[in-house]
Amino acid sequence: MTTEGNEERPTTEPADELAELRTVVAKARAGDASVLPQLREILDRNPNLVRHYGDLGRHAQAVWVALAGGKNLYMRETFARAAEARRAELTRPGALLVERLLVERVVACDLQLGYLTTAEADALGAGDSYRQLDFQAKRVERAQRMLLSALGALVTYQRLVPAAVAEIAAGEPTRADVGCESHVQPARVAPTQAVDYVLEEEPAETDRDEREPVRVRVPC
Amino acid sequence: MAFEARTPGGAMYLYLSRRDAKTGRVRKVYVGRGPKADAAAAEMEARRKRRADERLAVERAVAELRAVDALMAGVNEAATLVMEAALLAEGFHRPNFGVWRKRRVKDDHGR
Repeated sequence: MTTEGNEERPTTEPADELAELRTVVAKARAGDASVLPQLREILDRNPNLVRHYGDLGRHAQAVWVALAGGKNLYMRETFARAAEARRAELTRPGALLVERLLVERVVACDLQLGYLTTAEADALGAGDSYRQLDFQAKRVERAQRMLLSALGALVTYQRLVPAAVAEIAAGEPTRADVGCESHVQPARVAPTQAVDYVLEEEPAETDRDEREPVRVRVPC
Repeated sequence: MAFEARTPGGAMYLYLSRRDAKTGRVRKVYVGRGPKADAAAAEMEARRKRRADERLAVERAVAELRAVDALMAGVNEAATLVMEAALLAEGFHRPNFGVWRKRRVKDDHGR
């Protein structure tokens, strides 16, 4: 909203930004290299887009935790902590917002699969009808495919974009340990400062060949 | 399925309506009359109710998860798109939906 004397840039909805991004990505996917500067500009201009969908991922996780735990607060807390541990395990130090979004998706898919597998086991135990069991089995299959796809995307991103390099390119230390829910932007620092900071903490991350392989645990 | 009286005020006969797959016409199939027909009708009615309940249970499960499914679909689409955009902006490409590769850049000699 624009008020007198306080000219703000008109805010666009994340869905509109996503639609714009979709159009440009479609062109880039078709091999049109001329749209790459525009693509970079959209990504630089809309950090809130990535953050918004990261928050949505967290919201989805909360819903799965509530569904799985029901009224049992102890179970809810257990699931929430497990999700937190999984997030910490998958996020590299110095991870950018894009990587954090991918991690949130993996965690949400993981919780989804856990809930649906339990629901399927419950349905089997309760002797539900063939129709209900078929529905549950299809849901579990879909959730498994979704999780594998999410893990694939995360691993691909982590393999191609080393965290330290990504941080230097961005010129701003949007580290994973800042926390997704806190929307306070860290102070912008000079790229050289960021390099020193990263090199001290994560020397191996600067060299892709020397980096340890990304470990991903797929649930049974 | 219906009880039909062939003569006005006469006995009730149980018939099933079945569509003939070859001709596409509905054909009445005689089942019986009396207690046997009543038992058959009750069993068919119970089966129909059971199937309706099962269908309702599945619909209820779908409705329960509809909101979170929509949420997951949104996150999924956005995450895929943003990842693709980030990699394309970094100079990668994905020929024929295969693996992501660094795009070759020609040097000053056109190689």
